Amino acid sequence: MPRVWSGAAVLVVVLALCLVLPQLYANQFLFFDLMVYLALAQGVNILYGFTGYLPFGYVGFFGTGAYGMSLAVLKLHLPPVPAVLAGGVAAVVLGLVLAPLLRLSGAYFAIASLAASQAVYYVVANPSLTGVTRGPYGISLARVYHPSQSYLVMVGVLGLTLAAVLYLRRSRRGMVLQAIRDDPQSAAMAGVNVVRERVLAWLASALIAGLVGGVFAWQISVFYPATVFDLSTSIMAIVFTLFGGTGTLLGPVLGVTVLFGLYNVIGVSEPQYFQLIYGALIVLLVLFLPGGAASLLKRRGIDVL
Amino acid sequence: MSVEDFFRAAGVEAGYGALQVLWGVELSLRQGESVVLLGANGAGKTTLLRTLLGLVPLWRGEIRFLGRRIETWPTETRVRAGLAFMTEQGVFPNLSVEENLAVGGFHLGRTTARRRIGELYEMFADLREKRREPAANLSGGQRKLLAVAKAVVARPRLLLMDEPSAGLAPRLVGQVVEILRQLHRDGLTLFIAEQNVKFLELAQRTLVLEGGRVAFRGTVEELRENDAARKAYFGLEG
Repeated sequence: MPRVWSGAAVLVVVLALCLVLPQLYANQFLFFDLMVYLALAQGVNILYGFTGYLPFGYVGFFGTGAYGMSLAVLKLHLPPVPAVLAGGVAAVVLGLVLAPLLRLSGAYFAIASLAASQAVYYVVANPSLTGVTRGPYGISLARVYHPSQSYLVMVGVLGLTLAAVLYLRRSRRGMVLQAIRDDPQSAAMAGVNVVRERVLAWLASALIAGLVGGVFAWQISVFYPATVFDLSTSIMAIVFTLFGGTGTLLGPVLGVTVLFGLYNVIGVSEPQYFQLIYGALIVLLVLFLPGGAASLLKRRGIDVL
Repeated sequence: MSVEDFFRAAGVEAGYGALQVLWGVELSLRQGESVVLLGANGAGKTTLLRTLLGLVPLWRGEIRFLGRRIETWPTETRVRAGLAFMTEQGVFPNLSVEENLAVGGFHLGRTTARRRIGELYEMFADLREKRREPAANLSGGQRKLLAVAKAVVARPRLLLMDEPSAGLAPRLVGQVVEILRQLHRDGLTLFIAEQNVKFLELAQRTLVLEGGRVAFRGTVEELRENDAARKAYFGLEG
């Protein structure tokens, strides 16, 4: 099946670039952030592209993963890699707790997920929990700091994420999720367990953000609650995904590469203009190009992977 | 399980919000029979079908299928137990013909679903030609056939149908009736809500709904001899 091979080729090329580029241009942090957004955008894609739920509070899973990983290191004295997995598990547990939010739809879900992520943030940052989460004073993982190892683990997490999206693009389950997104009632009439499929996608998406958050915590090793529960993380991941095209593997990759590149060219020196561009982009995309850049190719009959 | 236990709904009351539509509907289907549900617009035909499937909440009454009480089951569980619903809205326009059929067979497992879809292409030759096309590109008749095919992918025991003739040219109505006749011959039990007289060819029994109550039950001949029913349901149909 050539279609499967083309997907595998995309996966290999992206991962190879992530491994090789830091050797050519010595700014590992830039490429690490790029991978973080590549993975988060695909996580948003799994949820929004395949089920239609837009998670404005997606960063809640990311922050939970970061704290889950950190507390596993600090309290349970786990080595970093198992601790990253613990971060993923923490995000999945939060996902299970928040699963009833999937009963809401459209803007209600988006706002409720935003509120939920803020609630988690305020719990974590609460001074009276200083003994547990270190509250507003933040986390220091200096003991396990190892940027080249955490970089490699991030490549692995990104690979897992891309493979998950590839699976959804090519499997019956991905097709069923799209059917549910288009018309949940008809999917139920076809015998599809709508609730179960939605919850699975939601938990997969939470797991990805949790793992990414865990590796991110390891990589920067010193951070505050506001660092890992920053709403602009959600917004950027959503804009990247929408720009590139949801429901595809390549769309979010394209969106992150173009917009994150742009951000690093002009956004770092003149952030206020970049905020402006983002705002305008969201409006324009939603109005004129809801399918993202990938839909321009689809309209010409090219099947975007 | 006796034949009478195949499908039975008793004292069905249902509606939307404060509006009651069904008032104690009694319905019993024997395995392998084919029953046509008649009634004017607003008589409650669609509501009855959707209630039997769990798409409209049941207020009072009970529904038994294959000897089991199913009224508390969610829709997808009823469907997996062998109850199927054919409606034109049930087709996914963005998915291809084959993907639509695959959604209908999702709970069968990959190999079984593939084999079953292959069998259906024998019966629905038009669909095989269009298998890669998005369902949105199909003509009205083809979309109707796709809706029927999608409903029977999982080999249901009982097929509920909501106005299969709606929006169809007379020639195509004949085609749909032919397909249903074949499915019925193969053992599928049919319960069809229809206004088109052509479908009475399929009916072993008829049921007439009026104001959310069963106003008549009997064979097609008995229906034709019943003055009130004939006036109400054949006068305008010609």
